[in-house]
Amino acid sequence: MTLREVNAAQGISARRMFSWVALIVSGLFALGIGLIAADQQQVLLSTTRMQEQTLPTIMAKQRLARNLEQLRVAGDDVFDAPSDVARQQALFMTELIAAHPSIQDDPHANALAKQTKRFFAQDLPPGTLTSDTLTKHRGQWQRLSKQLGLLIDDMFNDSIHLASQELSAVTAIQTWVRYKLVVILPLFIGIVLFLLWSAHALLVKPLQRMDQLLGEIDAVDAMPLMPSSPLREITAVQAALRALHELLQHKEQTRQTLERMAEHDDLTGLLNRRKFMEQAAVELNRDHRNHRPVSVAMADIDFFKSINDTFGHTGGDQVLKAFADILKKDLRESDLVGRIGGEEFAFVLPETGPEAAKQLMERIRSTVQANPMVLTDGGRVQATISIGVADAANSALAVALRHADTALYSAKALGRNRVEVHQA
Amino acid sequence: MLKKALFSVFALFCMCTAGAQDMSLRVAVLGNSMPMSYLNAQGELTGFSIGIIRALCEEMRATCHLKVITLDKAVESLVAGEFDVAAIGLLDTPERRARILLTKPFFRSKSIWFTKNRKFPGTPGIKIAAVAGSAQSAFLQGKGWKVVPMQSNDQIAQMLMSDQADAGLIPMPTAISLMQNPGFSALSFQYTMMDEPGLSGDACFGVTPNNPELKKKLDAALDRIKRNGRYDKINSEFLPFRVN
Repeated sequence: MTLREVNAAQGISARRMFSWVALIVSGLFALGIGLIAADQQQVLLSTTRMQEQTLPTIMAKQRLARNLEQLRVAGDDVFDAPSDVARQQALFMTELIAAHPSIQDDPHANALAKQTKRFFAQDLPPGTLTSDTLTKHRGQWQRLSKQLGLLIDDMFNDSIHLASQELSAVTAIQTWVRYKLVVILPLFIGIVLFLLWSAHALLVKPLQRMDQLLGEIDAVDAMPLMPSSPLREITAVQAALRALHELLQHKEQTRQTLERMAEHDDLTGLLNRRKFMEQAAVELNRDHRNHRPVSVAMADIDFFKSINDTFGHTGGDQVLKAFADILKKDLRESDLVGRIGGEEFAFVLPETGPEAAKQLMERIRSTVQANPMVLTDGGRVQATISIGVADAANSALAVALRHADTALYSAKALGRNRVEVHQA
Repeated sequence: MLKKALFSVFALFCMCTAGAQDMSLRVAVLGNSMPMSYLNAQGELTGFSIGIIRALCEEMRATCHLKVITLDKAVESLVAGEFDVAAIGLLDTPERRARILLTKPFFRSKSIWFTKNRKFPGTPGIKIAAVAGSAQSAFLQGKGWKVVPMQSNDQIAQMLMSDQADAGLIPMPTAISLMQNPGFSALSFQYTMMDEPGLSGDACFGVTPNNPELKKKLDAALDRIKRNGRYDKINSEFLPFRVN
């Protein structure tokens, strides 16, 4: 089958179908990968943001908290300093920390730092730091210190909140990725399984079936049914198989015709001499082996030369054919008959002793005698036959046929149109 | 063929790793600027700036050779290519940025005016001590005030304590150090926090203008030590509060 014939076959092209399937699956796969990649990009952006923005912000808040705590400690030191020098040092430190840019950057911290600075500069100016003054203002400082403590707590809480927010965002993306994977992976596995199943059902199974058919296909049996396929290529191969089967059948018919021509007589349709001798030997061997009775016979149309001379060869042929028809009709299915010469016929009669064979042959002889043969030109021929019978139960085929021929000769000698049995 | 390819890859790998480990830097530092950069009792360099530059060198896997100079030589030596880095807290001023490269800030500073006799900024005719080559000195000169140039902040303290100067303008870390000295704080100096441009803001390391790539590496290393907590440890070791 040529490519053109394959293309002409009905159905969908496998190449086109699998190209589309590959395209669709690739598209779906790329879509899935793209969706997950987009989420991964979000995770990357979040972690980068965390690294570059959130973490520095958290660290800045922690540093600010640390400085506020240091401011509180310095303030406490002003009240608890063991000496004026130490108090002077503590005052300097409060002012320095309160003025540091890290505190000024944060509005709340800056406001509280200014308040602290004002408290020490205005309420406790240098030179007024007596024991009474400090005692008088300790409560005010403790309230201020408490506010600083609360702000420090806020800084730490803000840091934790910031980190928590970022982690929640990343977790949310990862959770979403997991949901997508839960959907995409089974879907992808399902598609792959479906493709494998499709490839098996549409390609492998039909090919296996056709492989099996190639082993079973013969010229005798009808072509087994093949399941229909939507694929053009499979349909084409199936058509090729059917064509092959038809070719095999045609060749078998030709072979049988040739065989028949080689084994049968063209005119009468009876076995020719070669085939008759072959089958007769087989039959006799079987009967000898089984110790069964068997007889052979030889028949000859009386005065056949005169018939030929009178009615021509065509008439003679018609007589031969009519005689053969009688034989076909009257002989048993197990009997073997062949045309072994011009007007000579031979028989093998299994399961039949000489007497029974004589009766059978007698019936044929009388049938021939009782039924004049009508020629195609309307002429009538009253033919008779002479038959010789011989027991073949204990004789080789050639010997038995020779005995039958001897009996035939006796029948001819005794006036023709009769049946004679060879007497041992 | 395969052996050649493997050998080439191995050689390239060795070159890359060797290049990273063998970077050698010449670093200029101050030797008398407590608590930033000074010699301890054992004669070893230590201080906040020293701690930071050593941490950066480790981060960059570089071998750093520290050499003590004076502040007034810092910018010139970087421009001349005598040093790769000046591990000195240089306030980020337009004048400096025009001549050298500056890293990302490694702390934020202020300047403090100290006076014993209420000679506050703007008082006419006063002598103000400042370290030569410092931002404070440049500020005072810009104002047209009389500057007594000193080689170190310790000398400014001596000038103030001995009344040879009416006032001193010194950076925040040095002020902290001075105030922790009972002998200095006992004299009850008056002080003023100076927020003027040129006296406060970001303090950076200087980098030779010939090596912009080095500045990037230093900045990245600085970011890393801030994130991994090493910066804060060094901060706590030398200064009483967070200076970043």
